[in-house]
Amino acid sequence: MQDAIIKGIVPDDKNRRTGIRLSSSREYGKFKISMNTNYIQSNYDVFDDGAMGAYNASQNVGLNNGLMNLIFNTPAHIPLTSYKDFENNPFASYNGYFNDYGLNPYFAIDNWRNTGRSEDLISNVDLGFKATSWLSLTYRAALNMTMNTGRSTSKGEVPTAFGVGRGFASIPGAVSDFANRGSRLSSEAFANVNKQFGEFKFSAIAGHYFRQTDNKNTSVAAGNLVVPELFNVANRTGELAGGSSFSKTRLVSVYGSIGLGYKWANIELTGRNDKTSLLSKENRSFFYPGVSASFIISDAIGAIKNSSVISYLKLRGSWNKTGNVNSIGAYGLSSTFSQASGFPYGALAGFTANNSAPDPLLTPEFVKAWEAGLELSLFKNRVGIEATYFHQDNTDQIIPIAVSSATGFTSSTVNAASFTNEGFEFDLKLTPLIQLGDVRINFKGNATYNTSVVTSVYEGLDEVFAGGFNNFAANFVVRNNPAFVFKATDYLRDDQGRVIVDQITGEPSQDPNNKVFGRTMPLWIVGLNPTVSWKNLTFSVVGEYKGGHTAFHKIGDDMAWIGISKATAVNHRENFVFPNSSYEDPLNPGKYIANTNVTLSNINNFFTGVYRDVASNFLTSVAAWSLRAASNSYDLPKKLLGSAKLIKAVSVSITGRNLYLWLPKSNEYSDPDFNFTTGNTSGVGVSSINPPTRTYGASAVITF
Amino acid sequence: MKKIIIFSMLLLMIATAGCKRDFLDINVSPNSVTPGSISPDLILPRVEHAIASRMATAYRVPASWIGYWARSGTYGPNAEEESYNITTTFGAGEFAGWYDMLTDLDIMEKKANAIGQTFYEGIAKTLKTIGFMYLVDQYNNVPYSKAFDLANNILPAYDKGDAIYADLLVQLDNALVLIKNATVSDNKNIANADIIFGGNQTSWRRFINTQRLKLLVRQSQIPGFNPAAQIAKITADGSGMIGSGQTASVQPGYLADNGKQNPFWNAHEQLYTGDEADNFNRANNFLLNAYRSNTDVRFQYVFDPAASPVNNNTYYGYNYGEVLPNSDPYKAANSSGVGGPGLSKSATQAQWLFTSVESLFLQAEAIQRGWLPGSAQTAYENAVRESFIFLGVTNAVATANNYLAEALPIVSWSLAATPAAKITLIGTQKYLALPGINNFEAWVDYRRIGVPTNLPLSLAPNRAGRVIPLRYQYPQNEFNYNNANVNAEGTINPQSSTIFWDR
Repeated sequence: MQDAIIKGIVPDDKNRRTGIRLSSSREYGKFKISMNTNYIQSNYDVFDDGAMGAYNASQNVGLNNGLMNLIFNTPAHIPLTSYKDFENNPFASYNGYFNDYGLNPYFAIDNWRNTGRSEDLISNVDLGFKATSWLSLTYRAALNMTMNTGRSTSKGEVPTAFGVGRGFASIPGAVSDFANRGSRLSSEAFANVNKQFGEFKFSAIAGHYFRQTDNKNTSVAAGNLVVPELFNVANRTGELAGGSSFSKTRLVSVYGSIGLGYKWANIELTGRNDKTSLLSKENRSFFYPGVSASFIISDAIGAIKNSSVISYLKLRGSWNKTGNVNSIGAYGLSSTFSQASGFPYGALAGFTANNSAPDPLLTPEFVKAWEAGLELSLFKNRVGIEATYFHQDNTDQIIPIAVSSATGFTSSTVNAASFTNEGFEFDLKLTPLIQLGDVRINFKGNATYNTSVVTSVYEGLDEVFAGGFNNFAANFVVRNNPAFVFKATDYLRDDQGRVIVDQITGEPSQDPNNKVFGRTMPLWIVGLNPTVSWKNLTFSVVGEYKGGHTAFHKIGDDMAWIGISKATAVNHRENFVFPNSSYEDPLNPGKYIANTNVTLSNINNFFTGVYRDVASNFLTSVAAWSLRAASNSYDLPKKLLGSAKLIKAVSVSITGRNLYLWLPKSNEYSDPDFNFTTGNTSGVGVSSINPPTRTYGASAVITF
Repeated sequence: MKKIIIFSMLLLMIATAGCKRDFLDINVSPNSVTPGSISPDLILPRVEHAIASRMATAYRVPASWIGYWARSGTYGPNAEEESYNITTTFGAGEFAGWYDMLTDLDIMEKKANAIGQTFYEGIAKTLKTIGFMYLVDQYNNVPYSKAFDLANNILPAYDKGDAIYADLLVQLDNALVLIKNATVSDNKNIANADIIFGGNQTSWRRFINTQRLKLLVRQSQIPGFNPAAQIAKITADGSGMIGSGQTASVQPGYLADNGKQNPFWNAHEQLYTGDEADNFNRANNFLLNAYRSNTDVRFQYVFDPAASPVNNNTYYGYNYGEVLPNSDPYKAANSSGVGGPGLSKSATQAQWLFTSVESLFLQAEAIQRGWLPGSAQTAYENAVRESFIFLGVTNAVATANNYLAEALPIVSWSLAATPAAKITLIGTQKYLALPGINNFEAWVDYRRIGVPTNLPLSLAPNRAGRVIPLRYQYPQNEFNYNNANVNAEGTINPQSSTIFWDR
């Protein structure tokens, strides 16, 4: 059983997670049955950031989304916490708050709420039958169910005459209720053969797998409540909004493998055929094979077997192909139409084509991968080394590509983008590194180098948008570049890379052609994990380095708009000559003269204008070392527990997470691991993300 | 309990194991309308509404450049717009917005053609000429012949602006034939789905004739341009053009509810919540003075009185681009809004799409140029009277007649001595008749024939010698997703690159 109450760093945010888990198994002779059920319920009551953003958008307010933006909009000398009581303090109220360009964050937190419950039920049952000593049959059924019910509410506010005079509009009282239900049922049956013939070992598996997913989402909303704070959709004017959708998918697979082993060598062949309902009839069935082999050299060669240095040496290699259609959902092969802009008007329906059109003949995406590796232990297993080289060919990746709106659509899901991915992984274990009496120091380290190259994108296309802020700073797939790279706006530059400014205003301009900046995924990831133990006390640290990649910090843009970023205070907010700039020679068009004396004529316009349009100002290297975690734990000595066998073990520990971060100088913003969305996009940080937090904790584990 | 769960899982397994042949054929959406199930009568209402809405509410920027509107004292300057220094991200919604509506029209046209609903097909062709006219008028060369073909032209090449215009006239020929010969009853539900004319063939023919004239008048400054053959088609059709009181407007059943209000009302007068819809756009002093200093009462119809006047300035405007100190007492509430009572009558009013006022001015100019027969003076005076009537001016005809009789160069036909002066006069009065009604047209006429002649430029401190842009930059999305084709258009400078008809 588990029960956790989590309070976020946003005031009033609450989250409670309760789980219960049951598992049991039983054997009846050759039969074995086991069953697991896990139920988790999460109840939440949190600030609804999206609804505040939608309200700001409807007001055409320059204020961007995110609670952090409201805080950026607050000058440093304002005692923000004294504005908590927005109901009684007139200076904290909606109408009276000092800022024309932002709401009192305490008011916002109170007005827009998301409350709800999500429930997960995960249960499975395994039936095993050992027919003979070499044949076993297994049947496994699993059911995953998720249920989400919740509501978003807006209390609403009507401005006073004073507020109207300041240009404040009313915030409608609103409620939106939703209930989503999803289930995933799978059924798998397989036979397993294991037979030893002398020094040879034969194994084989043949199986059948079936999976069905069902989802049903329903929502209903009222955007204009009549009686304030009565959150029932019936309490409204105007039309009811909402929708309902269903989806169902099926997958059927058959698979098998054959393995052969001889004392120190193993080889295995695998194959699988999937049939999915997601693709058209002609493309829905696909097969993918694989082969792997390993040799334990330390057993095979006598000289090594008897060596006092090498205790274990294994070489392994594999090649396989895998296919999937995970990138599309149900009904993903057809373009669709929706009612829009106020329709229906009574009996009059009005539909418009939605903006994406998939290729109806999509095929599965495939990855062909091979890898080779070795495992080596030295000095009686005190030193362990594992090294692997890997190479993957990804072909026909299913991705939505953005297209010119003149095609009739803005995005099309196609089989595009092939890329190769290669690198190596290296693990080192020193156990113990040093042992001095009771003090034992262990060390684990790992390093991964991973690089990729896009080999082709799409017929006639060399690049596609993959996520982020389009026309500003976005993840792109660009041929002959890593997957992915940032493509972002930059200043117009001359042939020497100097920024071209206007000869009169001194102001640079934006280059209409966006440029490729660094990769979005780290090239290197290094982890270090030393552990020191003395008797029952253990102290361990996890350090991590990621490097070689770039991230975009939208907060730099947001802070420039308000004038609170470091850059906007340069030269004491006086006009200055744009560094490393040039202007066009009026007598010699196309030639540029170094700019040493034309200053920016209006730095306010510059920092709120072109400076913010140029995303390269906010792209930085995000190579960083971080102290991800440190913990100190203590196992109570057995003798303290007494002779009563009630308590078997007690362990107490204190832990800290995200303890420290060493950032490069250019990154004045934030921890780059915080991303604005899940999915493919990486390295895009925005102001609606709450800042990273350092956490400390203590725990006690008692085993009965 | 455990047994029940196991048992039910076994049952499910057995049920699902009994595979039928169509076991995997479950991928037809139960949620959305698809290309197979759409029909022209489901597309037409929304696209008619969307076009009218865009024409009436999307041209705040041209309205400001052209001296109609200005930013209220409540807001800080918009440096890019007010210094005319426009970039590839400026106004990008125009390109995508029109292609979005044109896509619906293209789908409707093909679908209607396939099922023999020729009236719908003709309407689609007609409305497409509006969309492509707006695109050419802002971008000159745009994708046309290679557009709407994702499978074969994922990177659509550009067509020349003049070639597009020439083909639009051909499309109007086709539309006219289709609509003229259509059997209305073959066109399912058109009386309801056509929320402009309710499936009235004569009205559509008049609309096509007027749209043809509009495309011709656009090209008046091209040296050697001869519209005679096209004018003959208008004459031959015999239905005439949009006349007095025949404004083409869209009425799906607007009502005072969220997202369902009349678009102009919703954009510039009042939100469904009762809040003021627009405290950004305010009267521009240039237009306000052009009315007030010439005994023209229309300022009270195109502009609102200030909600809280300061110093008894009931009607108060701003100079475009002027940077006012924070201490300036005139804020949004103390100045004149742009949804005047002549334009914003109610949340449920029909949305104009092609007004009689504009049509009469087009005809007056065509007569003055000798393209159409008749008295240019009569046509001109009818057009000015129509403006007063459209705005609902009290005693409209008499007031208009008094105004027409003033010995003021801004209105007097007899004071305009030369044919060129008469074209300028017609253009100037067209300018004074269309604020809020068709802001885009004023920007077109400024580029085409240079009216109004005394328009002041923006007072933005960083204007740096720039003038009112002649066109937009291609949108950044084209540089991203259609790079080779957009770069083939060369460097575009909105200060000097012209639309083909701008000579």
